[in-house]
Amino acid sequence: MGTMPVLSRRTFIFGSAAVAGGVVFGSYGQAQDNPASPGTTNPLAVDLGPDSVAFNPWVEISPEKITLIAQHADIGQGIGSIQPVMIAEELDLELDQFEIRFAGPSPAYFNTGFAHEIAPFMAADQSLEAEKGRAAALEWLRQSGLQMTGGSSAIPDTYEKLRAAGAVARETLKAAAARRSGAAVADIRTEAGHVILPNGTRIPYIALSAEAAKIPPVTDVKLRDPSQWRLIGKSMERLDIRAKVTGEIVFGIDRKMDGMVYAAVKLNPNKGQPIRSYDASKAQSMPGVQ
Amino acid sequence: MFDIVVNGSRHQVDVVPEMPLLWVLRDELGITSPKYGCGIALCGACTVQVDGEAVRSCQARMADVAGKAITTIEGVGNGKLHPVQEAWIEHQVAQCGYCQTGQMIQAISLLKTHPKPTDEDINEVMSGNLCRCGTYERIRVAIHAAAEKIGGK
Repeated sequence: MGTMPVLSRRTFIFGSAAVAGGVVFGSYGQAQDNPASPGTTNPLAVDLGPDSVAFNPWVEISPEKITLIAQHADIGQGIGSIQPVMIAEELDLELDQFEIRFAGPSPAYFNTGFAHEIAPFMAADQSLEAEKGRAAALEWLRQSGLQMTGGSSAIPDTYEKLRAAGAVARETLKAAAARRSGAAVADIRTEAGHVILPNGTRIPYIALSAEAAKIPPVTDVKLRDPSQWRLIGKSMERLDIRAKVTGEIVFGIDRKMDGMVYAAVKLNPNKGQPIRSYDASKAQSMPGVQ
Repeated sequence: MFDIVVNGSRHQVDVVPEMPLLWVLRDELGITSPKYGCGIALCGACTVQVDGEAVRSCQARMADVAGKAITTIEGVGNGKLHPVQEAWIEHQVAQCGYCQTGQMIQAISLLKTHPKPTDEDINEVMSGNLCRCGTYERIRVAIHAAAEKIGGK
């Protein structure tokens, strides 16, 4: 961590405000400066296809499909399923209406959930000192762009920001539908991957991607009350359980790339000793060895 | 050149006689559901059926299984899910899932010899299949559920 910038008073205050006001989420502009991590852009904007939109680093909609990004890279503990579910809750998606992709490396995916672990205060401590300590920790995480999975931090990190990511996408799609139809946003609703106009017309989200890409994301969003939740808190089938039970799921060892070769390491059996010479002729005479 | 029948399909593979069946399946035929875990028959992740019997494919020489009927998880249900697979879904057994194809093949083999297995039967037959996630409790529950499904048919 030798390159860690020194915390200035200004960034510290920003961090405090972010925690106290709960405005950590939501304001990611497409291909614009990423307020969550200044100087970085929305990583999804880089390779975005034509007529596609990336409302934030977690939701991408093309004319063909909806892709939700899982920034916590784990396939064993269920967080690969719950991350998209938190987006789908606010975005009004059914569980078979999207693909899931793990995030690439980007400071936009810094782990906000670890601030509570780093700051030396008990979880129940609500004192000003504790809140300031957590805010400083959050700011450190933001500036370092620490993207990590672990320590039971996935839900603390994503619980608000992924629901906000879904809400931002939903409200922006509604705004795009309002522009197209002339209807008021307040009279437009969403359901199961569709925007529904006041006259009952159902527009699939994917049919709005090009228009949604042309307007700035609507970031003034309110998260739904838990009493309205359809998905969160309910028992569900893990989204990858069938692929695991049929053997279709692809693990790292199953991945094959064009021109890929396998390497085997042979170490000097004497620990710490250098190589004086080696003879690869026997190995090279084996079939398939290059 | 060896003849190998996998999930009912006959293949010819040009490999050395001592190549483990696991590598024939994975590298020569592209069937990746049997997993490489330890390579020395201690973990069970590579388990497949050879003539209906659960076998550690990492230690089965190609020359010894040539011409025999090999079944991987893709072939256990004849195009549908096997009752063991159904039970594995209903009881959400898999965490990471890496060992689970081997677990299910072993469980199918267990249920052939013990249609109504006791917990002791399960412990004895399944103890060679390791799960780093620790899904053993769910495996046991799912095996009992699968036994009921099969018995009820």
